[in-house]
Amino acid sequence: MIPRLLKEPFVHFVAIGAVLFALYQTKERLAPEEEVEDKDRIVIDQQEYDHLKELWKIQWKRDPSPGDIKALLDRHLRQEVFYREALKMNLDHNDEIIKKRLSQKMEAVANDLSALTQPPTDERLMAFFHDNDDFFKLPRSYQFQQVLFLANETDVDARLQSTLGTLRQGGGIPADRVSKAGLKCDWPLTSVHDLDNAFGGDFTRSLEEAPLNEWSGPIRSGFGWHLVRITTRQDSVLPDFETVRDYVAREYDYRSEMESQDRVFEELLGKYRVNITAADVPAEIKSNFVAP
Amino acid sequence: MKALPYLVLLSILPAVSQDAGAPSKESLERTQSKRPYSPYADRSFPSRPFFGDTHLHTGFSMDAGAFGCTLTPRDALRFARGEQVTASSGQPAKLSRPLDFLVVADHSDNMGFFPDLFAGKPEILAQPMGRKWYDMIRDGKGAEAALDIIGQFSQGTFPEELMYAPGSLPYKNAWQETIDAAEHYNEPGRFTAFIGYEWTSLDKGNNLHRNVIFRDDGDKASQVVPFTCTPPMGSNNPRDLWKWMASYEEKTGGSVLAIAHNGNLSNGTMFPLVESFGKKLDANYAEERARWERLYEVTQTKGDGEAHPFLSPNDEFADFETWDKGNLDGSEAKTNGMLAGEYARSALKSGLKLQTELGTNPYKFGLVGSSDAHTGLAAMEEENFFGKTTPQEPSPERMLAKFMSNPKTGVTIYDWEVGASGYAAVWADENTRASIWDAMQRKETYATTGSRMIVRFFGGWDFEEADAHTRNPAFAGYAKGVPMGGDLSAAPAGKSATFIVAALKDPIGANLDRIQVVKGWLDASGELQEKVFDAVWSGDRQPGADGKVPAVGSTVDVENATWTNTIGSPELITVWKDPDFDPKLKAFYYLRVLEIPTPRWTAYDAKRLGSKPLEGTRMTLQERAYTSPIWYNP
Repeated sequence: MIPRLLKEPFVHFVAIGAVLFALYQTKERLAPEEEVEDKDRIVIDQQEYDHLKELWKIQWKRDPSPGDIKALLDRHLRQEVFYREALKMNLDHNDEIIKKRLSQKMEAVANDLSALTQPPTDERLMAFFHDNDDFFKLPRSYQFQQVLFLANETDVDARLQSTLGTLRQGGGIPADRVSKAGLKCDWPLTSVHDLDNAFGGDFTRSLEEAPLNEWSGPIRSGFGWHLVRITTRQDSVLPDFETVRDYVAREYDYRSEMESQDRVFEELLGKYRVNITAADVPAEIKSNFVAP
Repeated sequence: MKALPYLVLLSILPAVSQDAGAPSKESLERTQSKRPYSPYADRSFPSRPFFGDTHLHTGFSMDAGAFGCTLTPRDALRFARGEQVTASSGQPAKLSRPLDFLVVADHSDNMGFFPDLFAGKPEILAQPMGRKWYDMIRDGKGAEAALDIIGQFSQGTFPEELMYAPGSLPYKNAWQETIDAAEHYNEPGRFTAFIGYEWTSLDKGNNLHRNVIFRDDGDKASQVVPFTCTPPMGSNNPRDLWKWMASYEEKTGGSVLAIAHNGNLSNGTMFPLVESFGKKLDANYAEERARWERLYEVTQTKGDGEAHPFLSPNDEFADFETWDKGNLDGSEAKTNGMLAGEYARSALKSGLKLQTELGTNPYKFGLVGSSDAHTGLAAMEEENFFGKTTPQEPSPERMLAKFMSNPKTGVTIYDWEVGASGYAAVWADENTRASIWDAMQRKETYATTGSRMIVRFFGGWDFEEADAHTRNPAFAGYAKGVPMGGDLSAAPAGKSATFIVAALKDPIGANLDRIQVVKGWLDASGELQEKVFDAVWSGDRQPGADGKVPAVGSTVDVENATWTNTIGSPELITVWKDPDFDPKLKAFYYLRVLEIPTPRWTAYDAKRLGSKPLEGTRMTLQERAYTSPIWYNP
């Protein structure tokens, strides 16, 4: 039970929060008296100054001139003064941008927790791969030849039929049809996704019904009409795990981080009593957030 | 010259890619400064371009986040690769076809926290472990340091003193997260995820943004932080950005290029003629700009920037998706005098003149289109358009609101004016960071307004009609000339410039209306001139008395948001010869390819979502492509 608990993102989450809180409290308590009281002091000691200069140098790749240093300190103090005053006036509260930024940070923490608690081990990846085999299957592929007749050619029907006849009798592809419109005639084994991309229209759907190893058609694409001869039709298959390992790992990371975010959210939401009193929120939506 | 149906276009050699490693930057520069007559003669060449978006924001951009975008760079990359994602508005979203590459270009300012650890925050350096991590990052081992940090954290050995320091918490800053996402989803040969950012310079409301794209992997890119705009840390002067770029290359041995943002909201400051940020344009400005800003974003959601009807009154296609009411925040209204400093065609022309004054043409850029969407979704098809910002994701109301309204100046832009545009097409040998970046660097690119037509353009002295009829016009193109983005010089005596001009329709899109050659030149009296030629068109239309080919007509049924390919042509190809060529005059030539009219996204919305368009809403358009120019330098 305990080890499992230690792997729960939420437990980490709460633990980190508690540690931070405790440390912060301790620091407050142990700080020298005058520092606690003198909240309106802004100190720029050597370290702080070096830090500011370093930030500046990261951008400009040279040492700041005296004018730059003046501007640097001016900017720093302006920001610090406004920041502190804004905090005193609670201007950070209910600021949409600050809210978003802080919630993004929490999501980032949840993501890191996901990597800590569910590292992509071989077993996990393999299980994930098989649980989602539909997702990882390679699409159907075809190896084929095609001859194109553009949609706006004259006498296209007669030309199609005469060429089909020639091809069926073992004739070659007519010279003026080779690489017509830049589309090659011989296609190596190519997935339907790539074929959709290259041909458009209903081309790949029509390939499903075309016979193997004989010239047939015409079938339609985004460019016009095609005579086709399919030499290989390969059905959708699950690839060898090792060949797609990186892809599986990426998908696994993404989905476990999404899950981790959801779980952290659900757990934290449990700490709050959400009360939706607005009358016109549909009940089925309310029930998502409000405990019955 | 009309479209001849028997012509053969864009022939394909078997897709052999023998480009083992990309040429070095030095060798590229050599080729560009002293280009041999045909540097491509022995090169293998690709059969289709790669399509992508060089300018996409995610929820990491402060403004996108404020608009409600919750998608991250990873979501954006998944979507571009063709996977289904849930848009910020909760709707499922998927592209009709995957893109080949993507640059997530979030704003550099406010990109998360400045990496305190990186900059050596005092509290961190004071602690031995912090010092160690700092040194690791300094030595380019950022990833190792991050892993170490997470490891220490999980094992409870994380130094207590460091708990206070915000930069040391085990979450990554946005820049590192952006790099990680690109590294994760980059798949050489299949999908390229570039590392990049947008330097978001805004000078008095005038948009001077640049997208910065790295050729390199994360090991180099993570050695720097993006250049920002707010002084004193950053600067909004492009000269400072170029310095940053130079120092990146010097420090890391890497390569980086910048794409200037569509200048139509810069109120004339994108292409200055006299001075920039209070400093007169000089040879150095021209050289640096030409060196770093290789490409220009000529079309995007915030309007089209190729040509403006005021500047090109004789060009009946110049008024396309025009946004000319003011600058980015509407704080200053537009005047006609500003237009020449912000449209691509006029800048290409000005460049010729500046070249004679400064020795270098500062505006010698290639063309791309991109989205500038702030949704994490590079969805720029008319019938699958996910808007510019999250509130513009599909809904019955999305074309009824105002995109911007500045009561002080009266500048108002409606949401229906936002365009579903565009993409960048790149003629690279293979789908890798190095290969696509190198093609961008040599400007072998074109812009589209969202359609994926295939466009070829070659210039030389010896092209003949027969070259358009061969099985491999591209072979003739590379063997006897230069492709889009290239240079011609030293015209042989008595010869005129000739061009192979070709386009094939988008396989799932509309037929083509015509291909035009746009020529700009500096005449003998030092005046800039331009002329648009109809080079090849569909059907048997005859040019009128004014020399112009009449409109192709329209099959669009606006109410039902449909059209048919019963007009236009699936492919157009010809060899075009400049009838007015003068070997003494500097000139450039680029192509504009027009599709037949189709329904605009607003028509699809009205049909599918039942929106009632506001008066004046445009419901049809002619999608188009603009190629990078070919320059003639006597």
